[in-house]
Amino acid sequence: MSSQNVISIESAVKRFGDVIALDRVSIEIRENEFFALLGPSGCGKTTLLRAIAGFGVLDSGRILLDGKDLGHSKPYDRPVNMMFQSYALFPHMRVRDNIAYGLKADHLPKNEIEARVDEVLGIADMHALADRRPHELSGGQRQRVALARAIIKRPRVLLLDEPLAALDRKLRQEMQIELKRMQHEIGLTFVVVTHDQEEAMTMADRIAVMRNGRVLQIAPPQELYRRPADRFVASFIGTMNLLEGTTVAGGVTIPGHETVPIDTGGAGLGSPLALGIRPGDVRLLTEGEEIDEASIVLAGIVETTAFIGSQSHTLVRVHETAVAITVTASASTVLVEDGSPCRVALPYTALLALPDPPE
Amino acid sequence: MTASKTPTSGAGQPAPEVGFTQRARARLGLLTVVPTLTWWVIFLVLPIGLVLVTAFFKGAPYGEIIYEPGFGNLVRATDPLYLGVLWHSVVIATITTAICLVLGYPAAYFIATRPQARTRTVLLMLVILPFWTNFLIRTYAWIILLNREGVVNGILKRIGLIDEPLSLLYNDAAVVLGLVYGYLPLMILPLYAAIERINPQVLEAAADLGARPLRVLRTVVLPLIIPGVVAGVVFVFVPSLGNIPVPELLGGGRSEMIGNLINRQFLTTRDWPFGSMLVLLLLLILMGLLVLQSLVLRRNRKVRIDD
Repeated sequence: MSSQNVISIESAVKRFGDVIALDRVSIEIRENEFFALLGPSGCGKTTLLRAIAGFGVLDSGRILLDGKDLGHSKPYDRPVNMMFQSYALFPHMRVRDNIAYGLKADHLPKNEIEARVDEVLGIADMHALADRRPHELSGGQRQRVALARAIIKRPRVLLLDEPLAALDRKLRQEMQIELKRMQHEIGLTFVVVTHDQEEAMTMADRIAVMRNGRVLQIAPPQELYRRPADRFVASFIGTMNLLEGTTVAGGVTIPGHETVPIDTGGAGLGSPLALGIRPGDVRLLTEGEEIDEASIVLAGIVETTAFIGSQSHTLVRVHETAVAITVTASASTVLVEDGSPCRVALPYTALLALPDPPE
Repeated sequence: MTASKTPTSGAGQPAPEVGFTQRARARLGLLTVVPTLTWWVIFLVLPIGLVLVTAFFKGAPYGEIIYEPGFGNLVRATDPLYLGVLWHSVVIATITTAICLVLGYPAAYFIATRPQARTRTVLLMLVILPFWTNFLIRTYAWIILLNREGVVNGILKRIGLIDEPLSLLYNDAAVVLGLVYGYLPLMILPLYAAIERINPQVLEAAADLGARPLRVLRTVVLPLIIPGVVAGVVFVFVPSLGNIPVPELLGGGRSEMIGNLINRQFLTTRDWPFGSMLVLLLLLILMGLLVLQSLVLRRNRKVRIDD
């Protein structure tokens, strides 16, 4: 075990009745890392976060903090703090007392508590509102108080459960940057739970994609986008065009085309395997245009084109399989009318072999 | 509304009115409170007014009232004998309320924290169930349980813990027991309502920040359920203080409370003026309690449970 891992989760299993919330989950989280647990609701990400905090005992497996098994230790004995999704501020306490709560529970001397509360009020930019009560604050202000309260004890790991879900879109984008900045500034290890892939991609150093209680892939954002482990990850992170194929010796076939030479990653011969390609890698061919690269060329009809700023997204309905292919290009280069016949080229080098995720 | 437009629509020629005029609407509004008001006057204002007036007249040996105003009853009520009964009642009611609070809080907490809504409903039903039986009958039941040949003594004898039956009835403990039994649900229900409104994540946050269970109770739970505690205390203290059947049946005259004393003034001694004065004193104590309640709640008003 590497010594720089703050948290090591080893084969964690948790059941709720018949539902498996965590299915042999193993994750290592490094010092000062911004780590995201990403997945759709019900994938087990919050269960895992709560297990780290000490809420809910694992059925089997271990969680190590700095190499020591946390075992059945209680939440109040763990040097980790959590920011709850509902913020869970103490409604009867002023902002100042909310923030000081963790230090008072540790019986620190009064002047130290005051100094540290002042310091954290500064970080959260809440000095002016220190004597308000939670119901007198806006959503964004409450979020900052919740964060301040959670970091004041300088926990080994800060756990954040959907920290931005309750904010409106604009504030959310601001806070993504803000959280990232704060994490650098105070030098803490952050573990954030989110269902929003954009949020995870923006903030996290590494992301664990979860589904049905399993971890499908752990990787930095770019790698997750460039080399998704399976078709679920591929579709969950950004947009991915998928073609259904079958593995054969030396590659993958899709109906009506020659074998695409691609590494199938040990998938058995004859098993279904999808070929994926990002919209930006697809080329829309003008009439009579040929492509030099080895590519799958498909004929279809332009369904719609949407212009989004400098880019255009064109949806092409492929004749044979009725699959819709999204093509992204800079807006100036492609001008095709809806309903007109066209061809798209999918270069072999940009294709990804995507197996089904484990059930 | 139509009413406000009417005056401008023509000085000499009144416009046809479609809705009610404002005055008519006000009259109609008044009409709707008439039943409540009547009830209130007949069953609250008049009796209390009568008591208030009667308290300052004089009683005569055969139940007549001598209509000479004076403070004789007030002076008589301050006799140590009567003050003692009043004090005794306050002590019994206070002990009862305290025991209800101590027993009621864990029960309410347990019910409020059951994850299944159905479990909570069933448990609440069990709390309310005794109310379906008459209070008097339930109090009599304790006599059957506690008398010298009763169920409890029988069991204790059979398992050999005692040779002679214990005197479980006709003392202060039996009265407190009966009152606690009778009014415990009135403590549990408001406590339950207050605890149930607390966001469970708030309690988890306290634990997460390093607070052990007792500290969470003291610094988070209790401040948030003060309104429920105050309501429960009033609900239990008020009927306990003026209680008649429980000290009558389980106290057996040896543990007399103010309610019995008043009862006797009206029905046995037939000294209505003195009885009225005692009622007045009891009312004053209870009103003082209500003022105290509203003061506590006002101080606490800024706290909203639903953060």
